[in-house]
Amino acid sequence: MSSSNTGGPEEPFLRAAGMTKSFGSKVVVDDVTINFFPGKILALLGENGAGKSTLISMICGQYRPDSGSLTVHGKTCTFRSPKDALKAGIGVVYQDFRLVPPFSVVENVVLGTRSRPNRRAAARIEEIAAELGFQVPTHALVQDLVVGQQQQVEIIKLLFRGLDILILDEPTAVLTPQQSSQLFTALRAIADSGKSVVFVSHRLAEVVESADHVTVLRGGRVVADQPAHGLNKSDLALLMVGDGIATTTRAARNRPVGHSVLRLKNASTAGQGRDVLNGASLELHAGEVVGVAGVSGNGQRPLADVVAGIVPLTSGTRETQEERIAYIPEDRLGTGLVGSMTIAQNLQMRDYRSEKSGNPWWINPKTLLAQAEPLIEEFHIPAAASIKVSALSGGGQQRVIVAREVRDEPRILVASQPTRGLDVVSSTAVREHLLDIADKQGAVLVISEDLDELLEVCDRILVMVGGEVVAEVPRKEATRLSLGLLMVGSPDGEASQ
Amino acid sequence: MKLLPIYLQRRAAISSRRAALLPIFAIATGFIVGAVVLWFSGVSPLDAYLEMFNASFGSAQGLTATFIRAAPLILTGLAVAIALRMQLWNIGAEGQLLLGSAGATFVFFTWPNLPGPILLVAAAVAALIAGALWALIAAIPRATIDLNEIITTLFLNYIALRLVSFLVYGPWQDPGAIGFAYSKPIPPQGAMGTIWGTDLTSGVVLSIVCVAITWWGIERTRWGFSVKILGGNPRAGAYLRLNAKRRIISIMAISGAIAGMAGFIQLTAVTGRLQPDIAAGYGYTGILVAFLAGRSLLMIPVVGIFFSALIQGGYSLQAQGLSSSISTVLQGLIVLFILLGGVAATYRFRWSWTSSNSSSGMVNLNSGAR
Ligand SMILES: Nc1ncnc2c1ncn2[C@@H]1O[C@H](COP(=O)(O)OP(=O)(O)OP(=O)(O)O)[C@@H](O)[C@H]1O
Ligand SMILES: [Mg+2]
Repeated sequence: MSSSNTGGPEEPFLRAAGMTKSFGSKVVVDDVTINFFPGKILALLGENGAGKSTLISMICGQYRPDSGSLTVHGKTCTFRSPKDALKAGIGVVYQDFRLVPPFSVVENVVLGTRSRPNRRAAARIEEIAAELGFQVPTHALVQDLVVGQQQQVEIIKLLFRGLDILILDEPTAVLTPQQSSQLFTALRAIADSGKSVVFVSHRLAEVVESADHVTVLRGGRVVADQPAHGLNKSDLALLMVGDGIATTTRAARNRPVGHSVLRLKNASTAGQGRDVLNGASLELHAGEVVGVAGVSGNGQRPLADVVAGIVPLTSGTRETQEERIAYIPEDRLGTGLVGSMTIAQNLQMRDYRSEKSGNPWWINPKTLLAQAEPLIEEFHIPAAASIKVSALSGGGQQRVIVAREVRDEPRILVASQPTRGLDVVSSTAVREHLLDIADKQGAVLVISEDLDELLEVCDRILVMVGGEVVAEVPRKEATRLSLGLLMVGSPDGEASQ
Repeated sequence: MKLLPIYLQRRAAISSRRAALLPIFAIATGFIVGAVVLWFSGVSPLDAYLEMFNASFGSAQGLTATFIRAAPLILTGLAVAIALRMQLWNIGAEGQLLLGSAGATFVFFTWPNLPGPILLVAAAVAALIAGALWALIAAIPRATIDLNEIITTLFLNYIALRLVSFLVYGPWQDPGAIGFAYSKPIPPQGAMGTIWGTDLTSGVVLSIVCVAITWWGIERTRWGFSVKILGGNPRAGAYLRLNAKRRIISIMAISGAIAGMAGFIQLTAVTGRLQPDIAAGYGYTGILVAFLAGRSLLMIPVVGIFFSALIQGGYSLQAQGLSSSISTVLQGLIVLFILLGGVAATYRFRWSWTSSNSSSGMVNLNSGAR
């Protein structure tokens, strides 16, 4: 498995032909043929539930295809486990990283290889990191690294093994724009060294910028397989959804801003490290969408928890009269859902106590299912009400949370990374929901790592650094650049206030 | 290099049919391995198993004995299973059973002249309350200062045993048998027997009713819904602002009450007196029953009766000069195969001599990029 760098796209590293996979009676991947070429970056696109993750799982030996064949370097292979795929030179960076948090970077990288975590390994790791422009302290513990660095460790881990096919499932979903562009610079360097890179993304801008080739899945089938050259965002969106559904949010209206509904003054929370609140202040008004920008890990998560009222303050005050506060948390399956319960049950988790659910004591499973149906319809949840939430794709799970949280026109909505992992159409729909709530005189707080999203929906944008709100910029004056500078605490950014 | 032509393939998901077949597979394998053990003890496995079956289901007495023992197993199994719904480990069903029987005894000795039905109901209520209170001693520190309930419930078993010993040697001792480990007998109208001349004992019927009520409470009430949320994902419970402390306390109280009910049944249907060995390890076997029944509360009566038959059948082997511990061996084997089966069910076994390009055909269970 030498990485012969002929440069020509004629001979693929890997060819997966006629791949098919069903779960129960549902065909999730249907006769897909896909090629990975050396020296190229391939973007794998498709709506939520299109079958991208399932296809990758089959290529890397996680799932066994119902039918189809894999040819790697001209040889037909059957992978019985991800280990076999690794041996054939195929590695995957999953969205939920597979690192051992209390182990050091070197230990994590050599784990499962014949190398020992010694100085030679560390030197090799530093060499790989330097080639890619990564800055990872080799002896730091993985649990002390920020998300972007952990991802870099995952990539180094694959390169350390000399793999020549790298697959990344939604690598940028957890990254800031700066981290994302750094990642793509590294991916390009990897491709240029003759390896084959494949990534999944819902962010079309980065696909247009970085991919050489795009393969689009729709309903488990390949609907486009072509060079990326000359394609723009709307071409891609059209390929994914198949018809001209609106993919841009309507221009935010000029809503009258109402009275103050929630005020946070010098709020601090308990905990260690940087990801706590440290004297943050903010005010939300009825009919207003407020954004929060910041490098991840600067207190956004505790801010969301505090505004939503589920985490107590150690000092400072939180004043609000509102009872109906909805919250779309960042960590959907870990916080927002119960994977072992059905879609219908998850949809009802906020309301089962209120009068709306019928009588004050009993729960009727039939009523539960009936109440779920219209929501499944309206929010395009791609499964039946009686299915367990854990069997949904990432985007499907996000839709369940959004459906539950926005359906009752909350007075305050806290939305943390509300469109993470959602395809273009669903993202647009979610943003529409946020604006609808503001139109109905609700207050919306949006925390997002996607600056374009903030610029699109917010009336004003707060910037967080070190657990404090350090700046507030009205939308009209905000630009990606000015926000980016403020996020890293640059005085130039301050000047543009 | 390949050692064996077998390899494992991880499954995408376990189908529910496969999950349901798991206990049956485990029981069958347990009996097969048990047959080997019997063979080596010089007994024909077939004869032994037939004997066990006859002794537990084959005759009216056998059936009654099986049902009598099933009742406490069903209830302690239910007590453990319901606590597990909140991810709580109630190892203390043994002690709660003891306290339940002590509570019932207290009623019997305080109002010995009440008519039978009233007396039985009052004693049952006392058993429920005593079991619940005993469980609360562990539940309250768990809810408030997060003190591990496994340790506390376990230790409370020993204290319960001392308490009952004190009662039977002290205030409630039998004047006719001073120094013996049992109290004076409960009044005759407090004894429960079989129902309407059938082999069904009132204890087993009562315990199945308890299972049905508990199932209904979990699946059909709002309280049960919140328990499922908190048990399924505690962080989601916090996010939805559910009161986990109150649920820990209520679920443990119910768990203790159910085990206390087992104490009431033991007292009224089996021993007729309070005695320290009234729990007879049922609290611990209940953990196995809950485990074998898996996620389904409704399976508990089936498993309870099965375990009871296993124990009952084990005693019958003594007649053949064998140790009754064969039933303990079988119980252990079955639980072991459930554990193994749980892992095996997520894999697909395949046979193949074709060598892969890997150095070994065996799959590391932590395979992948971990
Ligand atoms: N183990 C499973 N059991 C049943 N259905 C499944 C399972 N895994 C995936 N599915 C279904 O298969 C479909 C495709 O899922 P997959 O995760 O491949 O989608 P995806 O393209 O990666 O979507 P997303 O962009 O939301 O991550 C979804 O409808 C999902 O509900
Ligand atoms: Mg996916």
